[in-house]
Order: sequence, then C-alpha cells, then structure tokens
Amino acid sequence: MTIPTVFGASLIVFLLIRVIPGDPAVLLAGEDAEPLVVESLRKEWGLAEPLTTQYLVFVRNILQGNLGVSLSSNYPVSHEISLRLPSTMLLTLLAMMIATVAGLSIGIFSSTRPYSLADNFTTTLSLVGVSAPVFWTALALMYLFAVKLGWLPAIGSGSLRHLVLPSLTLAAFATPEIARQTRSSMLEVLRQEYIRTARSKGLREIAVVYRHAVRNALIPVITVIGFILGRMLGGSIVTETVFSYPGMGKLLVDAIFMRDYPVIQGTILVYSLLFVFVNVLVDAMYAYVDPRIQYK
Amino acid sequence: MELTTRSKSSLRYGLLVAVMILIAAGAYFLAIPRPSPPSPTTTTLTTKPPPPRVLTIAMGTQPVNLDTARCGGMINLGIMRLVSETPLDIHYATGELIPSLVERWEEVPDATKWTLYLKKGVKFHDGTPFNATAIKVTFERLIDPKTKALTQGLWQMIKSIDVIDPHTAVINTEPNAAFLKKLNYAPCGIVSPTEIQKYGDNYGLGPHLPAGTGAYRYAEYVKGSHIKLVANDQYWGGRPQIDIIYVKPVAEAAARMMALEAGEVDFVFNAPPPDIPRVKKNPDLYLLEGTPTRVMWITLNTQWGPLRNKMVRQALNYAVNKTAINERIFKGTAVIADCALPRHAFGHTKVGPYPYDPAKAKQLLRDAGYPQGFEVTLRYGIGRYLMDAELVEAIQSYLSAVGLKVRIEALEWGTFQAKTNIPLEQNDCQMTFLGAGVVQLDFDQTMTDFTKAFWYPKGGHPSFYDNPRFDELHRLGGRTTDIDKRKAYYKEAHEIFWEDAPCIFLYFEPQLYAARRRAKEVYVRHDETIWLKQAWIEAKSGQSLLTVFWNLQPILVKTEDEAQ
Repeated sequence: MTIPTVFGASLIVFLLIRVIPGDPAVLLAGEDAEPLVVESLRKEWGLAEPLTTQYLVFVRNILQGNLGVSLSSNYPVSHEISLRLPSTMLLTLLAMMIATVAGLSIGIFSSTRPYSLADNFTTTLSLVGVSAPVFWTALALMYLFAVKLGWLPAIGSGSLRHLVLPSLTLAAFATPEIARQTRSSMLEVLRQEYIRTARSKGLREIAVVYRHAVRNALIPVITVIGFILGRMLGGSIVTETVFSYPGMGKLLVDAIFMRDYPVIQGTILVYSLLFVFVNVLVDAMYAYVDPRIQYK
Repeated sequence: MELTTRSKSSLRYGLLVAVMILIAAGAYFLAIPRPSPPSPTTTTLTTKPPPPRVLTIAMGTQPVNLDTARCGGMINLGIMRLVSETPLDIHYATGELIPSLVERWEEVPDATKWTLYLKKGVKFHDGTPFNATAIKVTFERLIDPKTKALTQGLWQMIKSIDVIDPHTAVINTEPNAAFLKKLNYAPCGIVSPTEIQKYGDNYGLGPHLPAGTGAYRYAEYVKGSHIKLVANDQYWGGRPQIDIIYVKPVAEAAARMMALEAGEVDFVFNAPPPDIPRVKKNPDLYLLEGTPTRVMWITLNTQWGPLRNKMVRQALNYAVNKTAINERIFKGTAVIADCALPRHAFGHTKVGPYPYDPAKAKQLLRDAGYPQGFEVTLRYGIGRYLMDAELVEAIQSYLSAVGLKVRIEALEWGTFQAKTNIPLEQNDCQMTFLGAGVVQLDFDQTMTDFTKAFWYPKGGHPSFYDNPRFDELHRLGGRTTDIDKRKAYYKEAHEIFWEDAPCIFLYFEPQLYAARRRAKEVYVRHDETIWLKQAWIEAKSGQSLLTVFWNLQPILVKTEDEAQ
C-alpha cells in the first residue's frame, strides 16, 4: 500500500511541475542570459525530452538511489536534502513534543472543568492560536522575544536557542487542535459507565482521570497527532522562511520558485516517505495504547 | 515475578516516552553542527587575544554556487566580488571607472583594442601569482560555450586575448565603446588558472572554495545557512579592517529588519520603505541610500492595439503623477526619471520627465480616437521589485482617472518570465511593469534591448519598439570611443526614444540599506554591489551581562589561527 502511494505522489508532482508555466533553464540562467546558453542548459538537463522519457529516467534513478542533481546549485539532490532534513525533523519533533504536552494538558484540564471560566478562556486562546496566520505568529513572536526582549535570536540555526521561536510558532497551531480533540474525547469518556464505577470504588479523582479516562480517550487524539505531524512537515515552510531556518521547507519553496525539478521531486518523495512512515508509526501506537487492537 | 497488567502498561508508557526522548536527542545531535571546542590558550585570561572584528550581512537571496561566471543576482555577485576581483572597479561615490587589478589602460579610437597594464606582485589565495595568463584564462572561459556562463552573450564581442608579457594583456574586440565598463562587471572575476586546470567544469560547484585575489577569502559555505569570509592578510590593497564577514540569507524582509534591530546582523540589503521611519528613529541604526540606478517603467507593447499610437502612449505618460508616487510609496527615496538612463550613466540626457497633466492626457486620448479610453491588462511579477503591488495599484488608479479600464495581472516571477520573454507572435503582453539594471552605466548596454535586432528571443523587451533611426544611432554610438561624438548620438537617440514613449517612464528604484552604527564606511555602489574595502567596526562599549551571556557565540572564542 505504501509503494503505490509514494509512486502516485511522485507521478502527480512530476506532471504538475512540468505543466505550470516557467522554464527552469530561463529562471536559473537569469534575466540577461544568452539564449544559446539557455538552450544548452535545457539539453543538458534533459528537459527537451518527451515527458514519458523524463519520468522513466526519474524512476530508474530513484530505484538506484539517485535523486538527481539540483539544477540551480549542481549539488546532488540527496546531498541538499541530507543537509536539511535533520534540521527540519528536529524542529518538527520539538514542536510536536511541545504541542503534545501542552495540548494534552490543556485538553485534560478543560475537560475536567467543562464550561467553566477556565475552560472558555483556554478555548478562546486556542482559537486565536489556530486562526492567526503562521506568518503573523512567527513575526509577532520574533518581535516580542528577539527585538523587544532580546532573549532569543531572531534568525538562523546552530544552537538550541535558535529552535525555540520556530518550534513555538509551529506548536501554536498544533496545540489547539490537540487540546480540542483531547477535550472532546475526554468529555465523552468521562461520561462512561466505568468511570462512574471507578469513582464509586472510592478512587481519588486524579486517579480516575489519569489512570482510567486518559488512556481510553487517547485513540482519537493519537490520530490527530499523526495527522498534525504529517502536516507540520509541510507546514514548516513558512516558519522556516521567516526565521531563515535552513530546513526542507525552505529548500522546497526555493526550488519551486526556481523550477528546480529534481529538487522538487526529490523533496516531495522524501516527504511522502516520511508521511507514510508517520502513519505506520501511528498505527503501531494504537496497538500499544489500546490492548484491544491486535495486529496479525 | 510476573508483571501485573498495571505495571505492564506503565512500562509501555515509560518505554514510549524513552523512545521519544531518544529520537529527539538523536536528531538534535545530528542536526546541530558542533563547533570545535576552543583551544586552551583562548580561555587564559591573561593572554586572551582581542575578539575578531565581525561584520554580519543579511540579504534576501544566496549565491547558488561560488563561480562568478555561473551565479546570478547583483547582490550575490556583490559579495562574491569581495573574493573574486574584477580587472576594474567603479568608485562608490562617483561611479567612475577606477583601477583595480588593472593599473592603467589604453584604448584606440575605433574601440577594438584594449591594452591592460596589470598590477605587479599580486597573488591568488591559493598562492598562484596573478598575471596576464589569468586574464586570458578568465575571459576565454567566459566566451567558451562549454562553460555555460550566464552572461556569455555579453562577452561574445571579444575576438581574442593576447599575453604580451606577464603584466600586460591586450583584448581585441569588435567595435564596442563601452567595453571597459564591462570589466567592472562581477562575472569576469579573475580566476586562478591553477584551479581551473584542477577543477575544470566543477570549478565553484564542488566542496572546494575558489581562490581569488580579493581582500577576503572564503572560509565556509554552508548552503541555506551562511557564507563566512575571512580577511586576506596578503591583500595587495592592504589588509582590511574587518576580520570576518558572515553573509546570511534571510528571505523575509520583516525578519531581516528585526534581526538588524535585535543586533544579530549589522547590515541589511533592501530595507523596505515603510520601515524607513522606524530606522531613522532608532539611535542604533542608520539608513544608507545608494544612488538610484535601476530604471523602472511600465513597458507598452507598441505592436498591440491602442498602444500602437504614439499619442496614446504619451497620454499615459501625462496621466501618472510621479511625484505623488515617490512621496507616498517610496517616502521620497526614489528619483523621478528624466531619461531612460540615470544621471551618472554615460549618455544621459535630460529629456523629461513628462509633467503630470491629466487634462492633456485626456485630450491626447480624444485626439487619438479613444475618448472613452480602452481596456488594458497590466502585468507584473510578484516580489522582484520594491513596492510592486502598491505601485501597480497607483498606476491603475491614475490611468482609470483618464478613462482606461486597467486589469492587474499579478504573476509569480517564474510564470511572469515565461510569459514575457517570448517572441512577438506568441507574446500577449500589453502593459508590463519592469525594471532595467544599468550595470555598465552606459547607453550601449540598457538601450540595446530596445533595438529591433534584440527583439525576443535574442534578449529583448516586451515593448517591441521599432525605430530604425534609433537603432542607427545606437549602432553608431557603440562603434567609436570619441566621447563627444557618442554623446551627440545618444542625445538624439534619447530625444527620439522619449518622444516615442514606448514606456510609461517612472523612476529610478531606490537602493535602501540599513545598518547598525557600529558598521562604519560601508558603501553601496551604483551597480547595487557592496563596497567594503574601507569598512571597519566600532568597538562596543558596555553591554549588560545578560546580553553578553546570551550573545556569546562559539566563534568569538576562536583565535585568528583557528579561523582557517
């Protein structure tokens, strides 16, 4: 199932980027380039070949582990990706961890005091977090913490401090969604019979909530987390651009503007593989969390 | 002892958390480049050397490789020419040609032979001596189609390069009066023949860092992160006063400005005009205004519909209030165009501007047969030029006021180029917002695009301007080095051009840069490249302990020897 998905994604991307107007040879050669130069670049990159040939070459290369060579920088695509993938993964993981911890806490907290002032307050805050454009959140955080307070660096990478603002920005999105799902899922669970049983057993409320309710409420939350993780990998693009954080998202955006086909294809391929991997992980987590689910 | 259900699930959770932490830790160690630990001598308080003087520059793009022949973008090239020097330079204040690697030169009246006398005792960063052979290798490489130099077409008029003696080179060209100005253009940065032989096609592309003759040499090139330049102790012009230059790509203009305000960068390219008041109010920052050079206009397709009529085109020029545009959109930093070339370019003649006169515009339109105006599309590519969205909206409103119905078509830059740079038969451009760089500061360069010989696909311009007398004058002016004759030809050419109005002439794009006060004597030249030869850093006086702690980067502890 995963192989067809990955291939399907690669085919769609392959066709899409060639359909939209914009010639990589012209873009990369620049405004003042001599037409002969542009023509020879096009030949060298095989862009003059029929589409089917280009796609078959692409597939063959992938099976050999060769993702091609970037048209704009002449470095191998795998090299470009390997430079940036760890950074993006680190950012995404950190953001995910923050969002999960914060989201779960807020969700559980809200669900134990439904419709209270605290609950409404956190709900509204979450709404702000999810409605504000990433762009705005990123710049606002940067302005507050880097310019006004000077606590954190505004741009770049290279130390843990550089990760804080970008991951907070990404977490600003994921947290409300996780919180919301946790809250509604918890509310549903807390209504169940076995919760009443647990309470009537004389268990303290905390034990009821954490030992019995949370675990049962987690399944839909894990689904949401998996989904968000996948989206975050792609959604880090704006964040990376604003903070000048050298990651995959920025690589992809730059490549799209330059019509750097090999890089675009390679990056999307890697993204699809990651997405598939995340889904597999999520499925595995289900089995872990819910003993009722068995995999043969 | 059997594991109970309770402890089994706790175990599972514990395991899960542990695995997550492990993954995060692994990714952390993989992703963060570990700086090398400082050597013991640097932590001794008594013999601590002074910290290196560091300048950090932020720009919107980044060089895609380190070969000046194969990398585009004036700002990128401006950084690269710090390493890879050109035979001549232009003065940062006057724009006049000044000697660089070439000490003096001789030209002949018919503009075909250029004798260059080279500086003696200059070495490349890799130790190779600089001489006439290096000149020959550099230019032959540029002309060679196998190199695929981006500006190959520019050098095609070179017929041959002769090495007379190690310090004298002669370049033979077809008649080209502005040839010397080309020798300031970054793509002809002189390369080390040893490296060309060693790396061939891979020069500037591989992991190796190219050598040049410049005041700085490459120390690091980490794509997407930064370029590190280190001072060249043996520089022929004297060791520069800045030890390390970091160049960082920051695509987002707002983020660039914030990094500047936060003190993380010292110099920023392309400060957005709306931020100017904030920069002026901030005591730590100052604004640098380079001489506006890039001419901006709305090109009118002279082969399409109503725009075929000269009166219509002139009417559109009268309809736009350029002063208001300058004041409101650019806060007064642009220079209204009185000619297709800026004042400091050779061949400039004051032929304009068209005054703002909407009544006259309407009159001309009526006389031309369009009392009700007409429909037209104004196209532009997003993000390339300063304040583009605001500008096209302003144009739209001015033209609507005289009766036109203007539809704005905003395209992503790549798509825009694909739709603009095509021959007349397939081209659907009507009005196009474009700029033209004047890198060589000479009529011979910018105006070539308007001659019929240069219609797409040769180079060209979406105005498809066709005036034989104009072409003739352009040709005559390019074939002689007699200054007075050239000025006369160009004067007439400008008058014709202005009257024909193949564009709505607007302004010269402001070159706005912002810098921290500690960065002194940083200049930007007329060709939009940075000039750092006399720049220096003012040492910081007191800083709060907290700021010092937070800002202490590993690099500050490295000694000069460690910096490669």
